[in-house]
Amino acid sequence: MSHGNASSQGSAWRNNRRRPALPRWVCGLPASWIGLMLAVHLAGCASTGLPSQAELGAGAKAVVLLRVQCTIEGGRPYEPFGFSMVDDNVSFSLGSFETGGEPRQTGMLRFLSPESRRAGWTYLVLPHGMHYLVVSPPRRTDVFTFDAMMKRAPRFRIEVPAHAQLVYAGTLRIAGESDWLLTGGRIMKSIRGDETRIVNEQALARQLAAGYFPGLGDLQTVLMRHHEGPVILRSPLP
Amino acid sequence: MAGNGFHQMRARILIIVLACSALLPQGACIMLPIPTPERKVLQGKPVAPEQLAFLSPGVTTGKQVVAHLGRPDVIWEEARVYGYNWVMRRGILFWAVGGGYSGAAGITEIPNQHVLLIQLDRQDRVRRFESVVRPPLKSYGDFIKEWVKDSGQTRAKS
Repeated sequence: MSHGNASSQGSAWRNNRRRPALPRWVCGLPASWIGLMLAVHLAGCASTGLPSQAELGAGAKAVVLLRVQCTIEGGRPYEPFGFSMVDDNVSFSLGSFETGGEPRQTGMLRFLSPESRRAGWTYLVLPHGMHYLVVSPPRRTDVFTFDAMMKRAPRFRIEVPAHAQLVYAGTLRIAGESDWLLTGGRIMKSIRGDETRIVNEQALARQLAAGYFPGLGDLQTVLMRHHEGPVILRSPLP
Repeated sequence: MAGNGFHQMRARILIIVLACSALLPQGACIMLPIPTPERKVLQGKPVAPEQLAFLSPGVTTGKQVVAHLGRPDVIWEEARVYGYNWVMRRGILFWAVGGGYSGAAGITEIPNQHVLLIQLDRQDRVRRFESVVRPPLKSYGDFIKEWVKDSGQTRAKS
């Protein structure tokens, strides 16, 4: 008797426990949250694709193709853009007229395709004039220390000639030392500046440009140079 | 009714947890700037006012400028402007940043960006010169452009 009572009480309790439907917006919150976090994370990632006409500013800017090839200890190849992040396996900083030639870390690195990224090709959209590139290991210090390092780092001068739309600035061959990562793999910690070479791979660049930028005219090859001496700035008078 | 209360409570807890986790990536920071006299050179080679005594607008040539002051740090070709840059320490900044489960703190030097700008004319003679401090929030490009724009309106200084 008492057992039966207990059973009916339990059933009543289970009936009471039947969940009323939660408002839809509450159910959607976790999904929205995950989506938002994913979007925030991906915002730091590199983009693959071509620049828009608006970005090229009706001829005021040019697409500058360049390639980076890295090796680490023992001449082992090291993929420069393996993570497709702002601070990738190597980091780019760029100085221009606006910065008085002082390098500032570039935002998103951009690639034509995943294959070309793996091969070390990237591109920049730059106004005509002089630009100063610093290629460094990824930033692993506070921003002040990194800025100070950038000021002392060797620079490469990239010249974007007036009226050029498509420029190949050369292939940078760099060698450096690396550290093990806790998560596996290696990360570059320093670059041996005296072993850095600028190589002309114009034929490969032409092939790549023909496939991706057929409307931008002839590819001009203006190889970047090791920069020494005064920073040359070029900009029209105000 | 009791079940409704229970689930409303769960919904509230869920919202609070989400709101708290949204705050996790946010950082808090403390910064304490302490001004110091400008004695320490952080970058470049300072140019003292007495070193500019040789400069005479319309007389001194670009070659003489380089002979006296050395190679400029920056040359704006179109405007024929030479820039000599140096950075002095004008203070110390104590900073501490915390966010999520980590934090960092340190001391950094507050820079004062000095620039000696010398503009030459078409005959390669000094047209105008001025030793100035670049505002920290103004880019080098904007600053130098404004200076050149003003050069038409300002008399040469000596």
